[in-house]
Amino acid sequence: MPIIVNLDVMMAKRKMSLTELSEKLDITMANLSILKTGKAKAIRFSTLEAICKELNCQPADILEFME
Amino acid sequence: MNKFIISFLHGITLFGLIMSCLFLIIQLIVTLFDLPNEYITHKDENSASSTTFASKGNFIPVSINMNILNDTIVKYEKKDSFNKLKIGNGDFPLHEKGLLRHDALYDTLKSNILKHLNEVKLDTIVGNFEPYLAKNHPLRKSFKKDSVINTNLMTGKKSVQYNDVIPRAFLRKNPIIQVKSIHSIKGVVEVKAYTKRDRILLSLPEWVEKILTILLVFQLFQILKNVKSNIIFNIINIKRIQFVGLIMIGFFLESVFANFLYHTFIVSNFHYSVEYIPFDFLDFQGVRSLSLNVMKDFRLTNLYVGLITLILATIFKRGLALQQEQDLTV
Repeated sequence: MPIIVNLDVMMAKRKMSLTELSEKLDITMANLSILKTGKAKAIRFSTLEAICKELNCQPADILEFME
Repeated sequence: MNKFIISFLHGITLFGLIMSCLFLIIQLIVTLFDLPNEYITHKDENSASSTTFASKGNFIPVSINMNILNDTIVKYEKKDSFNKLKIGNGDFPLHEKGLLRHDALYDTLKSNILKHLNEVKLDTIVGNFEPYLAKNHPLRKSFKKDSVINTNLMTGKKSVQYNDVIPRAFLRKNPIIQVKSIHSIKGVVEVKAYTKRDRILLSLPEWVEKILTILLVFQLFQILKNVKSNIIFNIINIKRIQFVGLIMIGFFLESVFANFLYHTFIVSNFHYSVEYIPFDFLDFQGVRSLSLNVMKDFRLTNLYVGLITLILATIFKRGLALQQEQDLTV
């Protein structure tokens, strides 16, 4: 898949666990896990906004395009 | 409540599956071993017709249509346990339930069908005949109860339309009636083949039908089983629904095939007119013509149902794709 989700890298930088993030974002663990493992087919702007706010980063830090 | 209904339907399909397997076994026995008609026909003592609950196997249902000359006397006689239908000099001993067996008719049909079928031998020809009355027949006026009054909405003129068939109730009250100018007699003839090869050939449509029924009921059983365990939008379920649609189209094709088969073997060229009535037929003087028709109809409804089911399966497929996309959106 050309779009890669770097959520795990960002989470490691901020030293935040999946459980902690899911609680703060009010998203289920299962859904966050789908996003983290790259199984997700789409991401809502609201989710992206919440992640960026919580991890204090830009959308480009989480999503990456690769040939 | 919903769950109860699904469980109930699931039970019904299980029962249907067992029954259709049983019918297939009966069909196999009927085709391989030539069983007499009594084994597979249930006779109801109180009813005028007999109900066949099992396979007819090697029987070909064809309807017979006799046209009778206007001045022929047709006698319909009903005694306690025996019915008789008399046309001209011919004598039709009718069985208790209105079934007819007539040797001259049998011989004629046999010799004619044999011409087209080469090796097929006929065992029994059973008919269920009903006399029809001509339009201007005086007896029609006695069936006042069965008449329909039509009113022309434009002119307000009333006209009385009488029933074609002599009502059963009338025959019960008047055990012997002698009528002139009955214009036609319609009935069902069952033609039976009795070499194994012909039995298999002529019961081919029945086989196809039974196997399709088993497949259909099995698919429904599996779908309901999945629905019962809350698996609804599933690629396997959709494949099953698609298969059900194809089976319904298969039923339609089977009826077309059966028609073709019966027409080729039995009905083609089987039409008498007064010049061609063979010597055997002198037995029923006054029979103007005789024709056979295959009773099996083209089941167009099955084609429509099959196509609708296939369209539904396509819609379900799209629904599944949407649901998967929705599930994987974070």
